[in-house]
Amino acid sequence: MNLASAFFVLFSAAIIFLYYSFPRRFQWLILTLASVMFYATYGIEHFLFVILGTVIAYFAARWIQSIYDASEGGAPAERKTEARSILLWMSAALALLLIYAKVGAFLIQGIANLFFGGRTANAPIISVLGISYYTFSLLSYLADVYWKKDRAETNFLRLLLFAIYFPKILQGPIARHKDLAPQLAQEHSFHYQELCFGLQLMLWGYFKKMVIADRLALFVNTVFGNVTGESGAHLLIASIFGAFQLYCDFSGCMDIIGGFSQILGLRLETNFNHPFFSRSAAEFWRRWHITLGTWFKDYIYMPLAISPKLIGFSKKVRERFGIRAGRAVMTVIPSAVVWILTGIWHSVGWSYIAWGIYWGILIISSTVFAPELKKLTEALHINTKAGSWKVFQMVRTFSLFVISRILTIPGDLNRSVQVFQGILTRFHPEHFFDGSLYTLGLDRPNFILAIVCIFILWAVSMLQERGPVRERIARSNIVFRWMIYYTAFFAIVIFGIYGPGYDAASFVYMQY
Amino acid sequence: MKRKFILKVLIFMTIGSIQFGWIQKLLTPDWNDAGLTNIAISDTERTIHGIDALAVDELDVVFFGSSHVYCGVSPMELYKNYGILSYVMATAQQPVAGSYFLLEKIYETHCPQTVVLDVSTMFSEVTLPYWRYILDNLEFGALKYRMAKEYLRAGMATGESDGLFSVMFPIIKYHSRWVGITKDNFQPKSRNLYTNGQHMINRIVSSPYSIEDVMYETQMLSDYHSGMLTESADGVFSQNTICEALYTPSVTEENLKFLKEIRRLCEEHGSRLLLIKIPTMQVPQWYEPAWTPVKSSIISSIAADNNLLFLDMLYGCEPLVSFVTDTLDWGCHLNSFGAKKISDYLGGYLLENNLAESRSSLLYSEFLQKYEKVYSMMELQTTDVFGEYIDMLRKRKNDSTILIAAADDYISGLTPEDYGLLKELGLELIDQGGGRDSYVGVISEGKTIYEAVSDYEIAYQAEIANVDVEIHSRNGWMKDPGASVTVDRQEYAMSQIGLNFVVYDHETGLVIDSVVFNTYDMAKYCSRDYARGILLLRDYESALCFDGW
Repeated sequence: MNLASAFFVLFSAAIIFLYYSFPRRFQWLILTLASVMFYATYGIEHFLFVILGTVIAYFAARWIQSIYDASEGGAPAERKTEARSILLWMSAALALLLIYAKVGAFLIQGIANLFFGGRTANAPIISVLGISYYTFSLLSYLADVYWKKDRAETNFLRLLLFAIYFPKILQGPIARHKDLAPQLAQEHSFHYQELCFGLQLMLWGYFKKMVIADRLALFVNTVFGNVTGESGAHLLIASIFGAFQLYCDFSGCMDIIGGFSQILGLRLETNFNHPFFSRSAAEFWRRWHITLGTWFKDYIYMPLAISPKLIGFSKKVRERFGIRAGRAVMTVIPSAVVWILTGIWHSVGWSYIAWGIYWGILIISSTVFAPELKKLTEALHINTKAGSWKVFQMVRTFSLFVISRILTIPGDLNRSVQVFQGILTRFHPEHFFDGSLYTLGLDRPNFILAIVCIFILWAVSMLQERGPVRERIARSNIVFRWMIYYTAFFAIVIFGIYGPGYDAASFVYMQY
Repeated sequence: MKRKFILKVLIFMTIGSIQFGWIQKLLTPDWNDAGLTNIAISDTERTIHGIDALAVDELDVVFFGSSHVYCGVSPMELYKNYGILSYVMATAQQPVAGSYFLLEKIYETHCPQTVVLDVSTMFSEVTLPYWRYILDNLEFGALKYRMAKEYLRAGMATGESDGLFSVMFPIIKYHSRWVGITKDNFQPKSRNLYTNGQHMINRIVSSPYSIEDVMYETQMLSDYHSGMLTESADGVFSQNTICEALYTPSVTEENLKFLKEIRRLCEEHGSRLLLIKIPTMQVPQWYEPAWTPVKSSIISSIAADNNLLFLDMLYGCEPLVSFVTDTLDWGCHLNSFGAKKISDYLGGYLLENNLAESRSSLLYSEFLQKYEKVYSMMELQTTDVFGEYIDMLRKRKNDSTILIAAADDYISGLTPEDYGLLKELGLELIDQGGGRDSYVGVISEGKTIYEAVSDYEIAYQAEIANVDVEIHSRNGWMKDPGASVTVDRQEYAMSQIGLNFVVYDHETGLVIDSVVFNTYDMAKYCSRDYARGILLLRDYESALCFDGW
């Protein structure tokens, strides 16, 4: 069930109605049933994994909790070791589910070919929906229970609901049990303002997804479908559009999910904070896919950074090469691991590994070489407080993101190289003006509309940077408010990319 | 608080629904082909909603079927000659299921005595776009929903479909038409269909076939159950028999089912059902809906089994039309001249068989007046014999303005008889010119208000019946000889050698014909821009029938 489909809208409306019609103590059960039904529309076989993952997490967490509860006042060392072993083994089991989903088909087919010389049929692999998101949620849950930041859930169904709460199952955000579970367990009464705010957010999300992202996708897919034939000018525009497409697709989905949850009285973690206003790569990743970044920071980066082995190694390096080198090791190694894993999380192909290495190098360089960069700006007498410098930094960071999109859109590193070659060696700037831009998936009116919508996106983002827009709307008079709602709704209905004649445009991040 | 919330929601939804309906209407095509160069589309929206203009007791006979019916049946001729009150609810390639649902819609407001179904599409598995012509013009409601379900079922059988939501809310399919919206979409347009569903067209394109040809070709096709393939490849010779039934028309089960449903519906409402076939003159090799003896026999059998009357107007009676003058596209469809003849016959048949009665109606009389004006215009536009044309101009000179400009040599081909006709028209100076003299004549409200002949150049300008007119005629010996007639700053003359006529109607101020007769030549060949003629016809119809939204 696509979030941008009429069925989802009707389904959501039905769930909201049932949620507030039944006694409040049944609200979590209604959400559980709804999540099961939602997941079932994609195929009952997906359940195998989510049930398995939830069972592993449930029993592992309860086991660890029982160790802690039995050892009040301090667990003896061997019991702590036991808890640690449970954490490691069960996390490995969850990770194995994820690895199977990501690389299983290739591994099994490869092994079969090795032993049976290619005489086997294709391995029957179940492609698992949302596994990247719920396994990370369950892994963080286990870790939080181990670190005593959270208590183990005693009700299996409540843990299942946390894992497969249907709005977030397909694209996140990657929820933390300690944040979401209490909200899911709580009883919520209907609030008119939450309904309004939630609907507004959903409308904005649908506008970003259906009007902007899916429209840009028509151009991006056409151009990137012919990377060796298109001019550099077309490839550059497609790459820039690709950046906006991904942002609008992903953040649009987050807004739909967030808005729907808000209607139910639930607050999900923010996943985007206007990343294109970022002035550095590091800031970008604090504003883009925030829950993924914080997950890697809390569960990979920090444990690595404070691990005794790394500290020991850092000491040796410091003794051999100096303080700066020693400090660099504490940044470089955890960052490198995080970025390679982040790339693999998206996809196992070389494109994403290169993508992870690319961002890793950028972020590591900006940290390690920070003093040199500061000296350079001073030597060039750059006023780093000036508005123009900030604009330059934003454009620079956006350009770095566009480059990273070139690594991933074509789906193949060779083709990414061809894109760079095209941009550098056959640019043809006249293609910006000769009308050829309107022959690549978007005719002239649609191309102009895409540009207009990007400006609208920018304008709303600027407003949002200054303060909550929905509250501003709420304070305005009813006629103005309703005009905004009608305009947004009909903009989606008229300009949205949907219906017969268009391929159903699924969300980009559903594939991860 | 709760009441206030509910009230707010209701008002919000109501305003939103009104806006939604208006935007959906704006973006959904109405399937009215204003240019009418595409016979396939017809005036679907006007056809489906035009019946609303008829009072409950103003409909005795309703016709269903495809383009054969809306081209080949004239309710106004039926009224004029027999007093029969009828309506043509035919749409392009109308599926039999579509006929059924449209009949249901008619029974909501009317109760016709007789339902007439043309059986062309009984043999077709109609492609889905033709369903949408009807669906897109039905109001949201239970009837549309039931037809949509049937449409989806038909779509599943053929592997194509739009989805229920897209059918019930056409904006889902058509929202991308925003690109083509212009200010014209916001202009009021006529919905009044003075012809009660008939599609007025006067194009004449003769059929190359006779009925004997059709029967022969059909027989040849039917007989070709097998063929011999003789091949030679690399010196190796072979012969193979190919067995294949090349022509086996059959009525589909779905169509038969809906025919029976139509019969049931008629019986429930006390109506009689008559099956007909409007004649075509085409062969099945080229034209799938071509009417053949095989098909006629199948329908006769079905009619007998179901106790229905069947009137085959091709194989079941003497020739009713001429496929030289009465067809608009090589025998596939009749034009309005053919429709007149068919309706003449059909009217008599309906009365003789007590399938209709003679009545009078003020509304029909009003429509008939408009119909006759348009028919007269069509006759003018298709008259290509000089003497006949001048005679027609003479008959309509009291309510038209006739503008004449000569180009090059216009007298060499004129006989004394021709001069006589032109003088009767009011052109006294027509025989005063020599060789390649210029000539201009203007006749309005029955009088010749200007006439000039010159061996140089003539330029005339005036406002006549609230219309700005400019005429130029330039001597044939001068450089750039020619004729020009502009009406309201738009050029209409054919500007070819001979006498160029431009006629405009006083009631509407619109040009209704532009023709040139090559009066340099004894044959006096006629030349017209037929595509433009269709546009003139449509503009005239719209102006005559304009009733705002």
